Amino acid sequence: MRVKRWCWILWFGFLLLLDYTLPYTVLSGVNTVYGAFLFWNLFALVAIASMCVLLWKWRD
Amino acid sequence: MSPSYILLVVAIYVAVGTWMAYMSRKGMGAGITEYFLANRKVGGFVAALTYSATTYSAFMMVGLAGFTYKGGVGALGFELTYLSGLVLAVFFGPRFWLVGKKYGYISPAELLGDRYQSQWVAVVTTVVCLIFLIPYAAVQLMGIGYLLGGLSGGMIPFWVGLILATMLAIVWAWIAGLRSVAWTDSLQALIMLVTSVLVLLFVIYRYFGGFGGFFTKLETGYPQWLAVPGPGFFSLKAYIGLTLPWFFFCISNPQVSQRLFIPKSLGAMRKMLGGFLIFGFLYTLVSVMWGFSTKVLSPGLTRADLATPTLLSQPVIPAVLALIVMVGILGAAVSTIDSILLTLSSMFARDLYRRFRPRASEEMELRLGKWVIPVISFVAMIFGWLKLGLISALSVAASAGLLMTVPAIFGAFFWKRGTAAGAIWSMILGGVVTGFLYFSRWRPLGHWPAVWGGLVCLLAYIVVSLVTKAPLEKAREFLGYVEEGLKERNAL
Repeated sequence: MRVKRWCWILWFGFLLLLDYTLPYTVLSGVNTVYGAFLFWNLFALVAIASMCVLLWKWRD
Repeated sequence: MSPSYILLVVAIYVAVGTWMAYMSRKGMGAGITEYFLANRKVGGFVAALTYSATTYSAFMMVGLAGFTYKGGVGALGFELTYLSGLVLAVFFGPRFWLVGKKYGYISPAELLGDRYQSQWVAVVTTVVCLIFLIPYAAVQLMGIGYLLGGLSGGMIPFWVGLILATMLAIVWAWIAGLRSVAWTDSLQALIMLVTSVLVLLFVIYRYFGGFGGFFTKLETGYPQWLAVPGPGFFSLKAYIGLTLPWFFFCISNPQVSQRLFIPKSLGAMRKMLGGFLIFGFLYTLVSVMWGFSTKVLSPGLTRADLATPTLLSQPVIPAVLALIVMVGILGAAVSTIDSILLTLSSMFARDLYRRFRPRASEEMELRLGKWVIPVISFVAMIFGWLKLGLISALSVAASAGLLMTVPAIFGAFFWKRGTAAGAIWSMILGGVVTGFLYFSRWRPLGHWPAVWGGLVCLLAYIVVSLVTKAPLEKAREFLGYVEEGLKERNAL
C-alpha cells in the first residue's frame, strides 16, 4: 500500500511540475490555442482521469 | 433592465428555493449531527451538487472571467490547478470520513483538536476560520448588492441586494441545517452550470459562427492572451502566489472539508468527488471563455471586473436568459454564503463554546449553533454595508490565511510527532506573516504572501513539534484505525 501511495504521489507531483514549467518555458512563445490553452486542458483531463482511477478502486 | 422584471425573477427563485428547503425537512431527525451533517447520510448526487455550489462562488462568473480578460490563458491554468488539487480530497476524503464516523466529529477543527489532544487547537483553528471567512462572506453579500444595482441601472439600491442575500442565507441554512443547504445548493448548482453554458453558446454561435471562428478571432486579435506571462498579469511568481493557496482549498476551507463527513458511504463520496470534477472542469472552461469572448467583443474596458456585465448586456443575449444568469450568479454567491454560515456556526458551538462549557449538553450546543447563524450573518452584513477596506483586504487574503491550517491537517494524518503546540504556533505565526504581508503590500523577492506565510507556517509546525511532547498514544490509535480502514476499502 505504501509503495502504491508513493507512486501516485510522485505521479501527481510530476503532473504539477509540468503545470508550472511547460507553459512558462517551451509554450510561452506559442500564441495559439495549441499552446498553453491546449496544454492546461490536457493537464486537467489527465489529472481528472488519474483521480477517477483512484476513486473507482474504492470498496464500500 | 427593468427592476420589476429583476425582482419578479428573484421572487420566483426565492419561492422555489424556500419550498425546496422546507421539503428537505421531511424525515429529519433530531440532534447536532443531523442538523450540521444531515446525519452523514447524504447521497452521491446531492453531495456532488452541494460540493460544487459551495466551492464555486460568484468569483467564477465575475472574477475568473475578469482575470481572463485582463491576463489571458493564465486564468485557465490557475483555476485548473485548483481543480487538480482535488487529488487532496481523494487522499484525505476517506480519512476524514472514517474518523468522522468513528469519533463523531462535526467540524474539521474538532478533528484537529481531538487528534492533537488539545481543545486549544480547535479554538485557534475556529478563530482563524472566523477571521478570514466572515469578511469573505461579507464580500459575497456586497457582490449581490452590486449585481442587482448594476443590472437595474441603480434602481435597486445596494442595501436591498445586501439584505435579500443575508435573509436568504439565514433562512436556507436555518430551516433544516445541512439538508436545506444541500437541497438548495443542488438547485443553484444546476442553474449556475446550465445558464452559463447557454450564454456562452449564444455568444459563440451568434457572433463568431462557432468555436472555430471564435478561436481564429482570438488568435489573430489577441495572440498574447494565449500564452503566459502574456499581457503580464500572470508572471510566474504571481501564478505561484495565486495557485498555492487554491491548490489546497479543498482541505483548508472548512465549509468544503466539512463536506467530507457527509456522504452516506464511500461509494457516495466517490460520486461526490467524481461529479464535482466534471462540474468543475466544465464550469472553469465556460467562465474562462466568457472572459475571452468579452475581450474580443469589447476590448477597451477600463476595469476587468466589468467583463461579465458587459457580456450579459450584448444584444444577442435574450433578456430572459440574462435574468436567469443573474439568478445563477446570485445562487453561486448564496450557496457559498449559507454553507460558510452553517460551518462557522457548527465550529462556534462545538469548538469554541464547548471549550468554555465542557459539560454543556448536545441540545444546548445545537440551540447555540442555530442562533449563531443569524448573528454571524448580521456581522457579515454590517461589514458589507460599511464597505470597509479592511474587509476587502481580509477577503482577498482568505485563501492564503486558511492555507495556514494545512500543515496541521497533513500532520494529523501523516506525522505521529506532530504536536498541539506545533499546530497552534504554525497557524498563528503563518497567519500573522500572511496578514502583515497582505496589508503592507510587501512582497520579498517578488513572492506573494501565501508563499512566505506558508513557509513560516510549515517551519513553525515542524520545529515546535520537534521540541514539544507529542500525544503519541492518541496518534498511534488514530492513525492505526485510519490505516486499517483504508486498507479494507482499498483507498490510498
